[in-house]
Amino acid sequence: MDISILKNIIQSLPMVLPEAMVAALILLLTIACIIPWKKPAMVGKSLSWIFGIGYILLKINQWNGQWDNGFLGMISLDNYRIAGQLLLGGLYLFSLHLSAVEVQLKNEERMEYWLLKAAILLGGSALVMSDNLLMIYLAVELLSFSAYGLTAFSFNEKGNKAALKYLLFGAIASALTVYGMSILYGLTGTLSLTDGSFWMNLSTAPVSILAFAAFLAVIGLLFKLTAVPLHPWVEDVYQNAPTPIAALFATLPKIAAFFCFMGIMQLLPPLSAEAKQAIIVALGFIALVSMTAGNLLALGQKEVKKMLAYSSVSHAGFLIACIIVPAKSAWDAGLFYAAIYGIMNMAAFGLVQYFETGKKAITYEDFNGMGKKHALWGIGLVIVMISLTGLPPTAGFNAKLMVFLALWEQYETTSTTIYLLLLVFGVLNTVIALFYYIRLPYHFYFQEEGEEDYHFYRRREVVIENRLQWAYRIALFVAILPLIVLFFAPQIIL
Amino acid sequence: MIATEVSAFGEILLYIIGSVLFVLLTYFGSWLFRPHRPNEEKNTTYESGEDTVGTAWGQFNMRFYIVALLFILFEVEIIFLFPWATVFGDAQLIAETDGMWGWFAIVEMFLFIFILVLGLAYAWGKGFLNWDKPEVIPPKVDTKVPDQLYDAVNNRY
Repeated sequence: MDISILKNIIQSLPMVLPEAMVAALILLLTIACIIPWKKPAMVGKSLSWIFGIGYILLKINQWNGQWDNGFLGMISLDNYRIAGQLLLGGLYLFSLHLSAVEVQLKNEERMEYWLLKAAILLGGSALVMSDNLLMIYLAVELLSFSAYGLTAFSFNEKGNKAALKYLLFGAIASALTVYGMSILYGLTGTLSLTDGSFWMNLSTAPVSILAFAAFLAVIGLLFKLTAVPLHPWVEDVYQNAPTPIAALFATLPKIAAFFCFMGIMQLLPPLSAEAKQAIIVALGFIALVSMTAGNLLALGQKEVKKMLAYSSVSHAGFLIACIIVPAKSAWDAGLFYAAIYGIMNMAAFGLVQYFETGKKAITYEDFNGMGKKHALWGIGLVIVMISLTGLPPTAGFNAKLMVFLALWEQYETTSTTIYLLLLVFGVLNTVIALFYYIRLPYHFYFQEEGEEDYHFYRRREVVIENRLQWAYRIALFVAILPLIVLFFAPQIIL
Repeated sequence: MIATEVSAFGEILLYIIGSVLFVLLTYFGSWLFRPHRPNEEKNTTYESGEDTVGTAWGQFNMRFYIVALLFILFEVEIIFLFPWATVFGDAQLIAETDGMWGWFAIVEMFLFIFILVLGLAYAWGKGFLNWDKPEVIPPKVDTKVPDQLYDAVNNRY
């Protein structure tokens, strides 16, 4: 034992002050679980909001700070990572707002709901900062465990089934991750990614074992990113979890895993050129398959939420495409893409939730002919869907364009085929995506609702309270406005 | 050249070999010395002195798992407390840091225990520790014979 260790730990405490805030929220909510409140949802919501805003304020306070590695190289902070964490905080708050609406409608008043949500924020925030395999694993597990619980929160058979599938899938993924990490530890003798000896020892390790171990070790992150070999759970989970939860799953863990990946790729340089090349090609291949398979699977879906689930798989492909470009332009593109992806997915799920709770619209056909009565909502829908496709005049276009430009530049400087392939497939996929995204506004405006359907859905219609209507409107305005504004002024984020 | 020092992994290997040998030798020893007089009672499966009923695939009450989970939680905490105690009580480190070391360690440990206790309080408050008692329903008989008559009979015999 050395005194410098204690000094290092005490000095790095301010780095995790915002995370400590979220941890305090989790503990408070645990205590609040036991107390019999008259309005538990009110208590949970207000506590979550207060601490969530506190988290963001403390994070802003960390901006431009002189942060080094903390906790003996367990975590590190820089402005890029702080930007990622701010994004996570914003998504968390938005999801809180969506939940507040949902919870009041369903009369679902369990404190654990808010607790698990806060745990997801904590896990995501920790994952963004991680610089150590153990820390990455712990953060992924924190994210996963809360996610398994939250999936079952619709309290019906389908929700439970989805949660169980998710749990089994996640358990296997995390077991493989630990196995891969343990092999990496055996090869290098350290778990710290910032430790020079880690990369040094990896460079001299046998290639076959190294490739095997590295692939297993990133499975946990790919699982959170829902990249292709690890995607089969998305459909059921997104469809059957409560919609605000699905919105959170689609954005927060993915963006956290993305930033973690970015951090790891930044540490790659000590590796030999061939090893780096192999990693880039392997990840590039995963990205390529993800965007294509996600799109093709989304084409065949009848339910809107399932379509959004597979669209998120394809977006994960684009995020991985940013990860493998080792250039400044890709960093900016990645940050922008992640931010826009988060905003537009939240907006999309918010819209789906509105029509789901109010009109019981779940499949494409359920949306038939709604354009006459809900014209204003339809405009929002069109904007969000166009943005998800990546067409102007929305920020989704800028995001995709920046990714393509980064890929092209990288191809021009290194002339590696994988970048060109990714670029070509990315453009092709955007065309495919157009079909299933625009189908929703098409049903909304141009399809007549059948006579039979009409009565059916009139009967099921739930009148949403006026106050909640406004809550929805404000939320969607907040989510959709940036999509337009950022198209004209993308420099706001960069 | 053969390394004369045993590496850390070598120690673990020795430990595994030792434990396997220990079990085998004990069984061998008892087999050597014990009298061999089996009967039906002795040949039954040993299950903490209880008679085994049904197959091993039967379902258990979920509450067993919750109690077991809570138990493991606190057992792990105890295991964690031992190495912590040796580090916490390191007089040299405390002297070198003006007592800072001790304070830091104790705050950390109290935070850890607090979170664990909070989990226990949660389980308790939510009633996961309450065991369902089977409700005893006294049988009711519709009869014209008054209770006193039964009591009189009971007193007499």
